[in-house]
Amino acid sequence: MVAAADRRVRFRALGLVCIGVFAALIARMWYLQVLNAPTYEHVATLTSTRTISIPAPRGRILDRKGRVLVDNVPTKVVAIDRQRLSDASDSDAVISRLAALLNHYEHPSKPFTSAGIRRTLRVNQVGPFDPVPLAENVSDQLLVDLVEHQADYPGVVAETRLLRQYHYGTLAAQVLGRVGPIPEAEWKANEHSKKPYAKDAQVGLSGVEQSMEKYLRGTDGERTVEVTPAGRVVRTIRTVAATPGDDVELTLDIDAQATTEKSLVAQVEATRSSRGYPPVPGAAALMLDPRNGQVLSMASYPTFDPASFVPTISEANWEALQQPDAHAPLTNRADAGLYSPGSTFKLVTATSGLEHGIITPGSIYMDNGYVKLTGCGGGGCYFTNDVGDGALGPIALPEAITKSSNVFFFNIGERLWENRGQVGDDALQQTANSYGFGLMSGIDLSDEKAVPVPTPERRAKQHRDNPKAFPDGGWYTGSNLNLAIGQGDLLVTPLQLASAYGQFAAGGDRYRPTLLLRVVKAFAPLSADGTPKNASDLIVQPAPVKTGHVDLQPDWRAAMLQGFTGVTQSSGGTAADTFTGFPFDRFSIAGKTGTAQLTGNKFSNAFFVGFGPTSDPGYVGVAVLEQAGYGASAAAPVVRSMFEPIATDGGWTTAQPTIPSAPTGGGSPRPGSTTTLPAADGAANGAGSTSDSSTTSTSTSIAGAGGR
Amino acid sequence: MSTVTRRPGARVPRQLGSLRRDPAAPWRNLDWVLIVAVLLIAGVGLLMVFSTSRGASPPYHYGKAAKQLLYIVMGIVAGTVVLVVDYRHYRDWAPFIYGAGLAMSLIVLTPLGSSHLGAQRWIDLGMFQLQPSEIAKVTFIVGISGLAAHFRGEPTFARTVALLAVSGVPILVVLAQGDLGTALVFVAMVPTILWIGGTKGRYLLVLAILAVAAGAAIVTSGTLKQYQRDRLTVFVTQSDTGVAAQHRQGAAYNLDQAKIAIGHGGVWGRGLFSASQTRTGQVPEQDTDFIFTALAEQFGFAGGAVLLALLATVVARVLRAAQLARDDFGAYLCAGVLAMFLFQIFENIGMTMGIMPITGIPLPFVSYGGSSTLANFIAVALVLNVRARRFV
Repeated sequence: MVAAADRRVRFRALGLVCIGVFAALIARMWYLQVLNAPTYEHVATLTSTRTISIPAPRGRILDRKGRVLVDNVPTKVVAIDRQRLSDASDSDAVISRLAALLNHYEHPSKPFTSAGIRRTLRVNQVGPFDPVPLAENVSDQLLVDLVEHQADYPGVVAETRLLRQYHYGTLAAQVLGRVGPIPEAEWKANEHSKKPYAKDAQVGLSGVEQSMEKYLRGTDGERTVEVTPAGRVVRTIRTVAATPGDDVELTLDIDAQATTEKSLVAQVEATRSSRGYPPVPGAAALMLDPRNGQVLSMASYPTFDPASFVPTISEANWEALQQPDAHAPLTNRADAGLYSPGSTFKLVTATSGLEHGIITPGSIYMDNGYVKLTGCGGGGCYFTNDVGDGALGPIALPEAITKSSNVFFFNIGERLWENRGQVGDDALQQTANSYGFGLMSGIDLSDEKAVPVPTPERRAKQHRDNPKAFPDGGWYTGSNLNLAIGQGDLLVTPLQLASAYGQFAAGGDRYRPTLLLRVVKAFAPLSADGTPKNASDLIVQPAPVKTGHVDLQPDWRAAMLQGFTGVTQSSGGTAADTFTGFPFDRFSIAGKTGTAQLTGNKFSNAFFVGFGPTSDPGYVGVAVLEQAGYGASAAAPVVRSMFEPIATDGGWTTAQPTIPSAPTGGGSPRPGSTTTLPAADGAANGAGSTSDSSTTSTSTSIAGAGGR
Repeated sequence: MSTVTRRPGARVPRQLGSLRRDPAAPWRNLDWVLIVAVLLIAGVGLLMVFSTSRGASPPYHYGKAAKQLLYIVMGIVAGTVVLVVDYRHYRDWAPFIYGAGLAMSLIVLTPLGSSHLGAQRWIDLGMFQLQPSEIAKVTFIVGISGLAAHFRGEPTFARTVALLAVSGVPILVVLAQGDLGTALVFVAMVPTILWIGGTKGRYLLVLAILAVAAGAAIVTSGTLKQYQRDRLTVFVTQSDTGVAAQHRQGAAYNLDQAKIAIGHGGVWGRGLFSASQTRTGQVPEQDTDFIFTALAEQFGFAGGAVLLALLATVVARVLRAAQLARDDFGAYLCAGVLAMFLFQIFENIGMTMGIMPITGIPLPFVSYGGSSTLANFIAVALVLNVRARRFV
């Protein structure tokens, strides 16, 4: 034991150390919290957190056999971080250096300039902390140069972005639709929703991209960062990963789509070259399954390249698409093109005549080649058959359809009007509505159009509302006659026509046309038939929706079917010539031509609608060619080409993807999938072949060996 | 009428001067001031852990605060056990206690240990990550005190060297775990015990010079990782206000944020749960090493001063217990605990205010953490033990 006195000294010294420690701490606290408090108060209010959005990858779009039509591809983007650029002492020099660098490697059609880059930087389309993209899809050499000389380019970043990629080029362009920066109005509308959009979000602007946006868009992630007073990001506090959008599987069969588009383009070009004129400014064709409304193909001519909108369309390309002589390639004429149906409307007139007892399936009418309205004088009182048809003599309903007798159907129209006291003054229109004409079909596309079937009441109202545009508000017997053969003010879309004939083919029930087969969670494991293995991965799988019904008596339907079958198959049929040599024994096809006269010195719009096999129809196909002439000669060949591969080869022309690489979204086309197409009767089974069966590789958008 | 009736078995009131009253009994000599001060500090710590871990907005998280409460209860239980056993038994067991602490610290370095943030310091016990170096602080105090007491107050040069050698082993082990801060706590304990043990002042002076030289050599030699060196030197290069520190990262960023939070508290603080910096997680490690910033921002200089007063009370009572100790071993135990608390308080609070290097040292009884809370309660129990048994 040391001496007590020494120990006391040692404890005292230790006590002094303790006092010193606490004194130092208190002094420092005093300095920070009392003397310097105002400074820190200021700093603390300036320091804050910000949240930066991480865009979610969009879901993929696949066809009914699981082949990827649209997915995302990572692309190198050169962008500018405005914070760091503004810190650089020589930001002007950096910008001009960057412009020279971009021009050197990218050779843009419009060279980059310092002023141009600065203008781009001012446009506040992205958040203040997001880099502003300058050039997309840049070359690797440029990136290498940038990285090697990073010191010369402060604030210039090379980053990877996910861009939309179209595996089949322009195929189904209008159906798939395009993506682009979110329109201001849409951003505002969603600003306070549960899932608001980022200001620079890419959204679907048309087609399926737009109508399926809620499935495709995914959930953005976010990064919360700490920002210093100068606005510098110091560190990441929290990161929430983005959830990719769901995969949307369409009812489209890309092979059917390729066949349809190829047939349509071939016929448009053939029509143009055979006469030099008519111009055929536009055309459309589609095919659907009448038993459930599933659309197998949908084509609109002229078309566009959806890839040209990725990531943004150039001003020049946009202008070109808007030119009048481009004939509105962005419009989907299949569901938004409004045409006079012409004789294809006789389906409605026949049904209405039968419904109201004007005719019976077997009743004979004398076709003299013309109808003269009773109690009427002058040339306007005569309604005739088409030029060249002349008088068909005594005919019944089947033959009237087969030969497209106008007079037979004029008679129905006239007598429906005469009997309007009993059947109502809109009996024909009522029947038209029951076939879906005048009504939105309800297809899952937002650009669909429909105009009401003209009725005496509507015409009177139009006149009252706008006498200048509609000088005559009256409905006359002649109006009913015109309507009976699908002329006059009546306008329908090819989709409505396909749907109505599908309704007839299916025996009276109309199903809502749909493009949506199912929605599946991204990266979900799939079983062989394309459905996800886990039920929870299936987001939506819509059942067929019945949207209308016509009470078709069996003998009515038999007589009309006989007529439609005769159109293609009997010697007097309006489209018999076109269908010469078609293997009816393997695939019995029926149909109807339509030739809608246009005002002025123009060729008629040509329509053809076909369906088959007649014993149990599984397909309806429609084609319309604008200002192309007769339906039989101009439009029917398209529908024949669409059906021929089903009848002869058991499948459509195989479509070749223009981008054969494996999809980035995970998963691959399901090679072992069995067809889910309705099998044609007889030999036409196993429709659809997988894309790996073809050996030819081509870069054109519509590809593959000819199918006939 | 005046007969007082008593129920059978009722206690008979004690008479003054009764032989049944033993003024020297340990339970009569408990230092209640120390106990209350420690419990108050632990309560403040619990509140701070909750305020920093509950989140900026509902739904609030109670998990960390609940765990800390559990640790405190565990600490009280462990402390009680340590208190019940006469501390002189620990002297007999000192070599084994020292050995056990060393063994635990060594286990960490084997594959049984788990690593986190570049340091391997933990043993994963499932629901609980034990940090043996915290427990080793206490076992180290017992071991060194036992050895020093064995020398019976005659610290010759040879004995001093022997004691330094025995001290050096666990320090090297902890350093090998990458735990510089805890190693420094050990380093602080040894000279304190030696000092109280009567080691000559010039020995300690030589020791201090050697330690400074060794420290400088380590910092400049490059054996430390860059982040470790930054943490040690940042208090030299710190900015005054944090405003100019926009580009600073890592340790400098930690220090800037800590100082902003403390300065933001001002004299009276921002109020409980109303502190913008520590509530939103601006200060890194703010529920453990930087927890003082949470108190300073929410309760200001006033709150910080109260906490310092409570901590000073603890230190003073431990010093007093050392003085009152009946034997050398007791005095050394208390001196070791004193050094441990004093160094941790100064280093922890000092680093948040930029007057000490940044090291990973918890603030006793305040910082979130099971091992350190447990160790601190055991350490206080040792001190209470020494003082309570000063008459027996």
